[in-house]
Amino acid sequence: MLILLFLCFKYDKLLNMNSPACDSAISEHGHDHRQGSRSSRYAQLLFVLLALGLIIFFRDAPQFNTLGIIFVSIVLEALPFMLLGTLIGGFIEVFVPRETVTRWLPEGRWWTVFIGAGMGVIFPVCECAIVPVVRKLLQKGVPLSAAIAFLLGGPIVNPLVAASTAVAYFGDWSIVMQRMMFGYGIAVGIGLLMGLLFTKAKAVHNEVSSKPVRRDAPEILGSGKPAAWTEKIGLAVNHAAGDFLDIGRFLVIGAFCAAVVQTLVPRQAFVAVMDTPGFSILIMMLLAVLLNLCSEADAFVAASFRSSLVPLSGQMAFMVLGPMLDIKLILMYLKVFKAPAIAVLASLTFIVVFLSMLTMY
Amino acid sequence: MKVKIQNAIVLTTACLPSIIYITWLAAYYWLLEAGRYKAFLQPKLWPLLILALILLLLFIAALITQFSRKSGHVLKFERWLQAAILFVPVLFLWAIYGQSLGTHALAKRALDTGQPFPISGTGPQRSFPTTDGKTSSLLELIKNAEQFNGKRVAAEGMVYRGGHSDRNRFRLFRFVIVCCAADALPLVILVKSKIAEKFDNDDWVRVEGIFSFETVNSRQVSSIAADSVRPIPAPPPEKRYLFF
Repeated sequence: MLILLFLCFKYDKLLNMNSPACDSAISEHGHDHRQGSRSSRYAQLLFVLLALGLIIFFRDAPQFNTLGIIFVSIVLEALPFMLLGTLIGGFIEVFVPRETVTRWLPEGRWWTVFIGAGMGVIFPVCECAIVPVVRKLLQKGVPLSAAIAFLLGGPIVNPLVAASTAVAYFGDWSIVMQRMMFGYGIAVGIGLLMGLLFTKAKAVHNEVSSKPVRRDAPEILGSGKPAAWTEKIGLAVNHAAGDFLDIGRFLVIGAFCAAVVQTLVPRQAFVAVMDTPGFSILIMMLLAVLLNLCSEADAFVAASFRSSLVPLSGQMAFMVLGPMLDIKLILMYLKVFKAPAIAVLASLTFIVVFLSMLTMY
Repeated sequence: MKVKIQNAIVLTTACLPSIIYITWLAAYYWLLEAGRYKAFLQPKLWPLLILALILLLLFIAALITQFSRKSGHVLKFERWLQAAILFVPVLFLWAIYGQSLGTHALAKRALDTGQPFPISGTGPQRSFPTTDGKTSSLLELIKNAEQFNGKRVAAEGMVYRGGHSDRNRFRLFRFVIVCCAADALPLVILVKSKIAEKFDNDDWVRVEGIFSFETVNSRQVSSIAADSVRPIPAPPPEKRYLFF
């Protein structure tokens, strides 16, 4: 599994090196189909062969049942959100002019980060849906720091997550408020830090940071005259369909990795060391990354640790980090950010969440 | 002949995106029909499946209306690989439907007592009628454990003998799902019965007896002193889990 993840990262690096040549391949549907590197093909082929091998040779094993059920469940639950996310992205692509976006969220203004981190209140989407939306927002000129703040804060600071947390903790609104505040604060902090450390061109792939073609519907249709609404809608859906195929495979591979971890790693092994101060936060953060739960369900799993020795700070770490960083998200980020930016983003998120949770002790 | 085969490959490659979406559309429809999705997802999530069907239909319509045979020439191998990856979950769905999380998953997920809720919880208390003769779900029993204390109860679930169970004990368990099986949490009740050793891991049983608390490894756990334990057929896959 680690080899698979490594190859995916390597593939991403190679793609960046070759990007000028690769970016030229544009299909009939108007989507980039960059020439995959050899490593890319190996990684993806390895995944397909591994999956087929499991189905053929281990179908009767109890481990296969657990793996298969968890894998299919994650994909079945996440897929509609991803479809919706890509559809929203498609509509942003076709209907929202770049000028409007840059007028509302101008580049180089620090306050846009505060808006980005709270946008989940208006667009309550989970972490699977948010990646394609952020990808399109970046293409439309949203500043990097604001986009990252939305990416990290959106799946936490939203009414659906607040409601599920309240139910999981039997209406304890202080926990709900803490989760929202930590989510918002950390998203703002990391958004600002990423804005300081990276320029947009250095952080995101070329086709995401600057898109000279396909900006407006008339250009895409090639007619020069304003496109009809029906044509625009068709185009938006077509974009969405192409984007989903592009990003969806990372969801599948990420879900598979998460299922493997859930199948092989006993949770009791983590709980055994939970009574060490500070360590419980780290362990719960590690669990959040490995389990890949939806932000609308993770509060129930976090709440289940109340009966063991896990302190509230550990439970909160699980609920704050999970929607920001997990295996499937890291793989999906590959379609938006360059590998160095992902490494810094992941490290920063992990460190900031850990330090924030230590303040709860 | 060679040209014909080449043309067929080009055409199939051009059709691949539509084929992927049609396959997923069929999978979601099959899951929604007769409630099969409950073997993986919380029943309340049915609108999500409807949403998926609508979006998949939209995507298929858009791809068909703007279909171009020329797209089959673009990066053929990449497209096939992409399609293969997106088909993998459907293959798994086909391979594992009918199975459910069992003792293997329990062993990886149980946390000491295995209870996701504190026994004397702070949750909303509901009054329950006397449960004599009626089957209570493990979720009801554990969430309202104090109200059932000392009362006669009946519960159904799977058997987990584990490494520590003695001859007269086993654990009765079921999984409770919040959103999907990935977040499934085990609900476990200790069962004391003279015929406990007759049952194997993953057997479905109905247990009747007196509900009480017991201290195991300095932790309070729910238990049933059973006077009747009998095997029952495994429920259909969509009815094997409890839902929060």
